[in-house]
Amino acid sequence: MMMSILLAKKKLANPTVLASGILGTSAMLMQYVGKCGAGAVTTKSCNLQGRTGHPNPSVISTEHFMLNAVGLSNPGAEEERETVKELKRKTAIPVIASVFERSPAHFAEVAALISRAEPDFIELDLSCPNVESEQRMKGYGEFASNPDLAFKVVSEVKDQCRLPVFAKLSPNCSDIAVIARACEEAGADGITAINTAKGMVIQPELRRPVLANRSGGVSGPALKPIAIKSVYDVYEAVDIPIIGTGGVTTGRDAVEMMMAGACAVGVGSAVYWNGFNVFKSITREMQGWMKKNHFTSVRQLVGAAHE
Amino acid sequence: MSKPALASAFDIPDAFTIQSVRQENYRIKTFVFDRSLPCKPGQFIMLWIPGVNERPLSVYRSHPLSVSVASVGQFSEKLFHLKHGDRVGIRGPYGNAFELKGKNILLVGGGYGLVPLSFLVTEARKKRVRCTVVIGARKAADVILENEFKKLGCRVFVCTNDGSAGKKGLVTQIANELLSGERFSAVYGCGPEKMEAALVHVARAHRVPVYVSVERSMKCGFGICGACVIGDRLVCAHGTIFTGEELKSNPDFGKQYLDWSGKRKRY
Repeated sequence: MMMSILLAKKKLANPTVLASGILGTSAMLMQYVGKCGAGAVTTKSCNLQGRTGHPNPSVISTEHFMLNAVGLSNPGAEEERETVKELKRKTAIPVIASVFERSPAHFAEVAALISRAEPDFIELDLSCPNVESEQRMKGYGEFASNPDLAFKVVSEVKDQCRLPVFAKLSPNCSDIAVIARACEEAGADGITAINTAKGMVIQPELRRPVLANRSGGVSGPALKPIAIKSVYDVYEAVDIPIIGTGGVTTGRDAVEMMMAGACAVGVGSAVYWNGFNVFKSITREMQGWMKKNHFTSVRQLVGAAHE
Repeated sequence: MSKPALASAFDIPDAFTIQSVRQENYRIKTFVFDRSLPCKPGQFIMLWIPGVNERPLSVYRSHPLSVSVASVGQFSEKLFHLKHGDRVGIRGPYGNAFELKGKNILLVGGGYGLVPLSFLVTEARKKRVRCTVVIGARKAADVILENEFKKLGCRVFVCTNDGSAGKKGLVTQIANELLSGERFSAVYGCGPEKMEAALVHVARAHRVPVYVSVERSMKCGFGICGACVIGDRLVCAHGTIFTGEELKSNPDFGKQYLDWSGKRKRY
């Protein structure tokens, strides 16, 4: 049973990818995630200056979804570059370095800076839902909802950076396929879909939204059908590979995501429901499902739901 | 949906009402809530003051739920303004618990680190475990829970940095003397991380199992965000109680931690 995939010519031992923002705070921790069976890991997004993030509560969870507004806390690209270097030195697992910034030129600068640590991919976080209202991040909220801006960011980054570049898109836009096509035209090597969807939880007895930021991003099982639909639409629109992310917690979820068109499957909040070994369990469950349903390679699943 | 592996069933704050507030000393207050929360000694809760922040706090007692808090920053200052009848959000409990080992234990605490150790003593005394407590503080006014430990039937030693109460010196010196003179089944520590690192060293030298409670900045509390990473472990999910064995090979323990942005800082 072949479980390995090729992502922009890079081989991943299995299709599971640690999604950005989960457990990506240190090299040792991501190394541990690799030991738990991830096919690749994505670092926590960084920008040039670094950010403290939002006050708590910043992450809460229920049976069906998680809601977070961590607020892109990160130590800044200089320190993050050392983390990526350490990770590359210690493990053979492919590394996706996630970056964000407030303008196309800044995006290109941070991508170029982090590239020097030689991650295997760069992921452009075009779409965090938790910081766009801030004055200093003005404009950031539109990168994943405005095709012209998405095009500008990707093409400026591609000018400065020779690594494969994935653009991470948001479900909070009028047509994700249009944005994905703009990214492809700008030279993106792949699409990561989707980021969390905007959401809010109110504590009724205390009469306040729970998150300090008031609203946040929804992830976990409740996000899955939204992610499946988004990936399905993006697959119809572009020829570049897709990392399908959103609500995958089981092998069967991963099969579904790949049939929608994903070439690899992002796994993040699932660690909450199924523990660190969720990467191993997803791969094992996929193998079981494939055997039962007469698939010999995981690559046969990609886009299988399209006519 | 399968059961959360690392988390409690619902990780959303529940409203709790403050029943009473007790002043322990000039900088520590105990808040007693209107109902119980089943917790084990060593576990923590996330306490949310709407409009302010949410912070991890060691559980002092679980029936009814109470926490003992030192005034150390903006959050505790706001908490200190709350009184009988005020409501806050609480989620948890989180983290693992102290494992009670043997019948003669040594507990070593610095400052408000005595709080979770006090909870452990109540459980230990129910099982007729002999308890010896070493209380460390900067000065006499910072010594807490001395009478309470005595009432619970513990042997108590006090030491301060300036000698204004008990012996002048460090808790680890007293711990070392006690460990040299008698056989303890386990050592439990909670306090500043440098103190804990020294305690782990002392206990390991005497070949006595040692458990310490580690503190880090926390966001989710349930093993997802990575804010509280120590080596390749998460303090919220794998700890907060770690054994001396686990910590001896941990490169961050006693040395460095991540600040709120994720920057590495040295102790």
